Amino acid sequence: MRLDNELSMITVSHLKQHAKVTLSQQELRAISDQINQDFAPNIAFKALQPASTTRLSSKELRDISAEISREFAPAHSTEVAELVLLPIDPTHLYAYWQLTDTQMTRLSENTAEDKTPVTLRIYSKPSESLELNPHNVWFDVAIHAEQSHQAVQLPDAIATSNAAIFYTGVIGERDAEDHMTPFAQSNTLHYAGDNPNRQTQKTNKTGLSSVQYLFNQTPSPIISVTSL
Amino acid sequence: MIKGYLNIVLHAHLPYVRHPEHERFFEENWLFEAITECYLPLLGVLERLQKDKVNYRLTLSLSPPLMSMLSDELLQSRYLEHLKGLLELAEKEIARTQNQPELNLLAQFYQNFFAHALDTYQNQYQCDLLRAFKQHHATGQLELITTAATHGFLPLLNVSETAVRNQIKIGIDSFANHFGYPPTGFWLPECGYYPGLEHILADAGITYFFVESHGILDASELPKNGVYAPLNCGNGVAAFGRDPEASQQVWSAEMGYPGDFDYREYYSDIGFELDLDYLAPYILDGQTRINTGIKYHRITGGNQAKALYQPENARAKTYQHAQDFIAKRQQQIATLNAPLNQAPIIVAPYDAELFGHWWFEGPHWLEAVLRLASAPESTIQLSTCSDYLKQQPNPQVALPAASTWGDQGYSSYWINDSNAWIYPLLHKAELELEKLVADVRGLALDPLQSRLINQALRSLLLAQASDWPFIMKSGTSIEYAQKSITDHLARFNYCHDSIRKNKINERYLTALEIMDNIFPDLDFRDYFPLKK
Repeated sequence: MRLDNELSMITVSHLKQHAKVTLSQQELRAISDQINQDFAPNIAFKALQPASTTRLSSKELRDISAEISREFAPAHSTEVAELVLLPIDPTHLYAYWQLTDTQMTRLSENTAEDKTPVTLRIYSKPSESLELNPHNVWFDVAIHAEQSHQAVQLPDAIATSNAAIFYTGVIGERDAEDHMTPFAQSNTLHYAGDNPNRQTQKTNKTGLSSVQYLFNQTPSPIISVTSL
Repeated sequence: MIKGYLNIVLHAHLPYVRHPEHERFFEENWLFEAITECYLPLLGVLERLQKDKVNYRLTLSLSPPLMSMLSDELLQSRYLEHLKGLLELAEKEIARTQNQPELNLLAQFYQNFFAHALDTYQNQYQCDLLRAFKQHHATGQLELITTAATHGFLPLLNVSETAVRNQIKIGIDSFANHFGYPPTGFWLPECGYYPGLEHILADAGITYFFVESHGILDASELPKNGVYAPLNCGNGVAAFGRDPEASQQVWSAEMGYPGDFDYREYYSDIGFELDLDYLAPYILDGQTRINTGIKYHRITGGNQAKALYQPENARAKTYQHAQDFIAKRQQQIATLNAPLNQAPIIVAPYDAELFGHWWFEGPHWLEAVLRLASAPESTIQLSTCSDYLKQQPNPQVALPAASTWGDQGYSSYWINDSNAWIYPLLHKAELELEKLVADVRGLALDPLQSRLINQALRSLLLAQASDWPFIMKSGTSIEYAQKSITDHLARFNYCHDSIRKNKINERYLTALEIMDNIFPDLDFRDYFPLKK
């Protein structure tokens, strides 16, 4: 008991003695990191153990796996129209879309009459928070609705801009006055323009020769680049 | 006098391939080959450096799927069987080549190589390589970091920030579960960065990550020190850029060291050269030729007959190439020192599997580089990003540009005609899970329901791996990649459908938990969008 008290006193005294030492936040973090690393509790990793006591043979596992793969194979939904933009590089986007059966029926009827072609309209804007408005720069891409995806080459004027650019797309019918009847609006995609002045050499980890990606770009994608 | 820093980073990753539903599964060999040719030799390098008291620094990124597979008892036991089979084949080769002295010496070389691997794996490490890496970390010389949960390619998952956040969080949690502490550095899968990602990394406690060179050079502000100093992304998280010169010397198919004529030829393997009947016990289903790992030839020019491999010559060449690498870094630093306003750091990241698997002699080269750079007379100081940031705590503030280390520098390797079909399916599943988790929030779920949603999350994570679109584009094992992603999504659909209809078959759920046993501690309740 006496020994414990003595130790306690020494410790307190020790702490008091060093209380004047000044440590920056950075030093405190470094010490904390070091202690965390060197004195971390040794955690025995536990593997996932099914809570069930059910025992399954290799064949039963294979059968269940095959049944699930067969019965629940991934499929596209046609319940909700959607449009998604993805980044390929500073001069290309990738768009995929899904239209409802009703929209597809309407489009097929309209296309037959050649009145309002289905169009992918891409808007670019300088800020993510800005709502789409008539001052946005936009360009149209003629698409086949049933194709459901297309790589889009960006107009040079946009792609070589130094500014960060946000893209939003709308898919719908375009009338003779360029007004859109939208079926779906996309996510907003942020991509900084490629700066040709820096002439950055694009390397790749394998050093192998470049592979050209030959997306089907027909019909000719860019109809117009317009700022209203 | 130290004039500059060199940070060598190895990124170790393999896709999660584990099939308890099959007695043997060919693609599990990816792990087995990497253990024999990469991870055990790398540990051998670290052991020798430690024994010789070499004051090296090295960064090793271990992906969560790799950590999971390395610590999996089923795969550990299968690896032992695999290795014993190779040892048996090498012994058969010694007998077969007894009248061919040069080949016989090589057969003995492989017998020793496999016997040493078996001994160290089983006896020295008790089949637990993660513990061995952890012990080297404890010496203070090896910095361990990690990557996203299943190596998801984040720029194309970013339609859902929740999906990205989840990949990062579970990756870090998985690392902490294995090693007992969270990492400070993060390897972005395929170096895939987009502006904004730094906020998610900061929220997860990460202080630095890596980008491709042009991510730094095309940053929002002109980088004062090029790729030879990190950038502060504006929120305190530092981005380090890959040095193109150091990368080219190792990676380049034309100029890189691994293409030297003294090195072993990867594509010459007895699995494709000897009689099928002889090879039958050691190849796929006894009839399909595969690489065995026994390769008797060295890289030989053009149309000439392949010359025999000479391990001693190859070993000597690794030392020459290490000297060349260090000399070039010294020249580079000397050239850089004048215009830069601080000592440069050269960041040289490589796939760990390059060393030993593709470039058989790579581990010896690495060892020589670390020894040369650590020598007292060296003007280069080996460093890690954590070390560097302690010494240079205030990097220039600028936001890196979107970039990857793939061909062309952006996302085109992971989204093109061969693989773009996966993204609508992945994004749909991500959205469904987010909605499901929101719908059950606040509800009292029974354990079976919770297990089912957790399993749905596991399946989604496994489907998101960047390996599947990469393999589809590269053109090897395409069928397996396609089947993997559709099977994982089907398993997700099954779990999702079962919970929505509240028709839960525990036997089926257990089967899925047995087959996909990764991330035992994940919690679906973390899968929700942050309020902005």
